[in-house]
Amino acid sequence: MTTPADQGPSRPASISPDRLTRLLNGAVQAVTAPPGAYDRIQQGVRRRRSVRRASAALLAVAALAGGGAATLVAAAGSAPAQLGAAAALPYTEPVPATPTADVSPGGPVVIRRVGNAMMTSRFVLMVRTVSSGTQSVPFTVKPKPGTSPAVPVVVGSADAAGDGAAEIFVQVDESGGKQFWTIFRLVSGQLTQVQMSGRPVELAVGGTVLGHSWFSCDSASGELVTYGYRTGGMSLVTGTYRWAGASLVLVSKQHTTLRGPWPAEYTGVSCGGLPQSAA
Amino acid sequence: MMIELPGRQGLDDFTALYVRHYDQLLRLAVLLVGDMAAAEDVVQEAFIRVHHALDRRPVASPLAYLRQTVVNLARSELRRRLVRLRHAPRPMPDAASAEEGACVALSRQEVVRALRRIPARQREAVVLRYWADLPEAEIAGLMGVTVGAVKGYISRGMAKLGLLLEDVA
Repeated sequence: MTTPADQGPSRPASISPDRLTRLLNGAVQAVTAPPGAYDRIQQGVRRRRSVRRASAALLAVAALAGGGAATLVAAAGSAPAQLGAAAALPYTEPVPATPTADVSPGGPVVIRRVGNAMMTSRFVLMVRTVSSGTQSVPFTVKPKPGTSPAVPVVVGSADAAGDGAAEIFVQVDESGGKQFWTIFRLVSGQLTQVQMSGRPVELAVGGTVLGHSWFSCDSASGELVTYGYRTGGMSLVTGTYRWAGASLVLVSKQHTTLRGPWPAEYTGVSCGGLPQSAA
Repeated sequence: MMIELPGRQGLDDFTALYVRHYDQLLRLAVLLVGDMAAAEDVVQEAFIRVHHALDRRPVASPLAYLRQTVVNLARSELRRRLVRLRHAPRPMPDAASAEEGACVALSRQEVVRALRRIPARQREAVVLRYWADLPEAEIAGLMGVTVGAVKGYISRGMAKLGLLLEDVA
């Protein structure tokens, strides 16, 4: 027979559910969303989306560099899940420019030579902007092998990125019926030459019986698409780029073999009113 | 209180999701991690993740998704905190840690202090049962354990809290 003293210390009583619920409610009832919580979430969403897009672009570049003809399409806002682990590029979403930051279309755009050499010429592009007066940016023209140094020519301006500010297109070289255009745009209020694959952009326009090159820009989607057609293989190479500050970032490249007549509707530049002069 | 958010329309309702549930989820996170700053981080991250999920596909129950994410992130936060404590230099005598400073207001709450002294699984089960008022089966799904395990966690947690909160009115 055992007595209560033999049973050891009594088992502690559990807290009652009602009492615990009351204590828990009392502990956190004053906790509310801090000011700016929603804004911080939205900022986090935007930041995460930028990183995903950059990852997609990086993987696309890597795939094309390593695999050649791989076709990879990374549409905005729908980056595949497997891209999440890729490293981030310094990719920023296009910032809509206010109208006052616009480069005045049709305004004075001047190119001046500041030096020259046998194979390299240096120039300065001067543009009058609405918001920050006249701006200038130096740039260098490297002519293609076998051609003499070209004199850059302003082709015109168009809102290619669809952000409300004009991009300026300048022809920097010409070879065998093919022209090469570079682009300048305002980035954070500074006139800047646009880069593509780490070098100043040179879009090929025109061509010969061997092939044609051209491009189009879609201000609604903010994409610039380059086309290269080779008559021999009847192959069409399409590159889709997105504007990212001072860069055009490749998001997809596609190789197509044409099995029909020459796609006449694609043979010219389709970007705003380009060309507006001299081209 | 579920909101069905199919496709693109879902993203438009994201704000409604925030307005209806942010405070409640923040309170849940406070009870789980015992620290206001960490709780805010956890809940904001959960909302960012649910936004991403809604961007990609319809989510049947965004609230359940959010709650699950908060519980998982709270667990991760506690694990990180444990690692930090293991590797942290010993504080000088009488010097308060940064963590203590961050949650000084909450620490005044005896119940929050008591919750921090019971094992994480027991804390989750007790809070989800008696604060969030979820049925045991749902808690089991959320914690990834059996209903029997949930009952065990709750029973042991209640016993410990009974001792720790003996003198609290």
